[in-house]
Amino acid sequence: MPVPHRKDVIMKLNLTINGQNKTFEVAPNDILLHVLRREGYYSVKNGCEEGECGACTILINGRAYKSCLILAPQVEGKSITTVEGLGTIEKPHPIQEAFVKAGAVQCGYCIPGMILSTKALLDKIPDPTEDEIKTALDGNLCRCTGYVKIIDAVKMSAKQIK
Amino acid sequence: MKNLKKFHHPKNLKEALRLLNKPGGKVKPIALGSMLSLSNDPKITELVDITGVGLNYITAKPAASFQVGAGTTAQDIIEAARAHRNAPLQGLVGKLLKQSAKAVGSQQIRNAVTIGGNICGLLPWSDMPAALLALDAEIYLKSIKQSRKISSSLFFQKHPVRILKQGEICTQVSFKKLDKSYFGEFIKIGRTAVDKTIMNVCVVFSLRGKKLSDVRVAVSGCVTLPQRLTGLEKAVTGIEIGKNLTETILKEAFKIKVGANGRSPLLFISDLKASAQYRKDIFETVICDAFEKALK
Repeated sequence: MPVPHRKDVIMKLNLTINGQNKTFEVAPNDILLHVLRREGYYSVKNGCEEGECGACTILINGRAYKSCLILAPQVEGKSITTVEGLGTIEKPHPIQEAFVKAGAVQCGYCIPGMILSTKALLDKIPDPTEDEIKTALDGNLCRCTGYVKIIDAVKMSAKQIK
Repeated sequence: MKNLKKFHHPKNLKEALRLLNKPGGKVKPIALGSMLSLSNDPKITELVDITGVGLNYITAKPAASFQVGAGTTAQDIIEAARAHRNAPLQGLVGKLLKQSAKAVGSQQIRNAVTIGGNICGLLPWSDMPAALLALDAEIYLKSIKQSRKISSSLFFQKHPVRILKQGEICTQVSFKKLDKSYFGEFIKIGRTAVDKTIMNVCVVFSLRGKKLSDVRVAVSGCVTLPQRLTGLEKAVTGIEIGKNLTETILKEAFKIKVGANGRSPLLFISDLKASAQYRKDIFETVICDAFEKALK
């Protein structure tokens, strides 16, 4: 549950989200996940709120983090990527396309986190092994698919991006 | 942290230490926040972000040791210990630090957990302390008033919260390089690779001919505080490989577990992941496995 806002201690938070400079008003104890959703970034899913499920995964300066374990002021001056910044319905990102083609999406709740973990992996290792894929996605839980199709989707993404 | 009012972003270590120098535990340092973000501590009124004060580094200067900045993340350690001749972390120290860093949670958590946070905010499932103990690490602490260096054994004698003085933070962990006569292994027991640990063991020893020497065995996750098993270390020192080594390890670890007069010096913990009895049951087998894997 979000910690009650302390309206008496509101501070300005300057950051870049999906390439756009933004300024938000936040309390020092605001959790980043709640701030992002409050500001309309609904691809950042609210799952366990204790760093277990990975549904709230975002990229900060290119690395994957769980936004439920980050206080909003920690990202002052940093660059954040959410799924909204990857592709659109008309022009999806190759990773998004691969997840659809591979049949990796069922209920879809975990998918934004999976896609961002995949992006962080492929930006660093363009041709990952299956072990590297499993390690990169070990913080993203899926209760529907059983992971086989998700791993296929990551392999397919790697080929498409190449 | 319902009473949190200020969040500071100091530009250098001196400024951070000055901000932290306030009594009563009201001001805390925060690195990447995986531990503090969920804190309910009403005492905390200010946080000092120490990610921008130059504590994220790994160097091998002086050449006989490795220095790891306290702000270095588990993922940075894994990447620094990759099998590459120019990798910043090499040899057995690199291998064991990498194994312990890999044991830390999931990918996103490894990106956020720092070596300083893992040891100073010690939780039962902190994975790095066992490796630090077995590697005889030295821990550098600094406040605005003083700098000091203490051994990892001393650091974990009490909960580090009771070791750290007012306004003091860990700035660096230092490891002596070990020559090729040394072997070692770190093992994490958990329900899954990313789950919180049930038991961590790290063993380090040197082989002089076929005899074990400079034996170091450290455990964490199963007992209240990470610790070296000095009784076991003494008992197996000088034993030859293959000559009842396994039996001696099992017997001596069992003795330590049970203790003299049935009173064990080790306080096994119980939590949602496993009971104290389960941890006791696997204790000597996991230690024995670590020795066997090290010898392979």
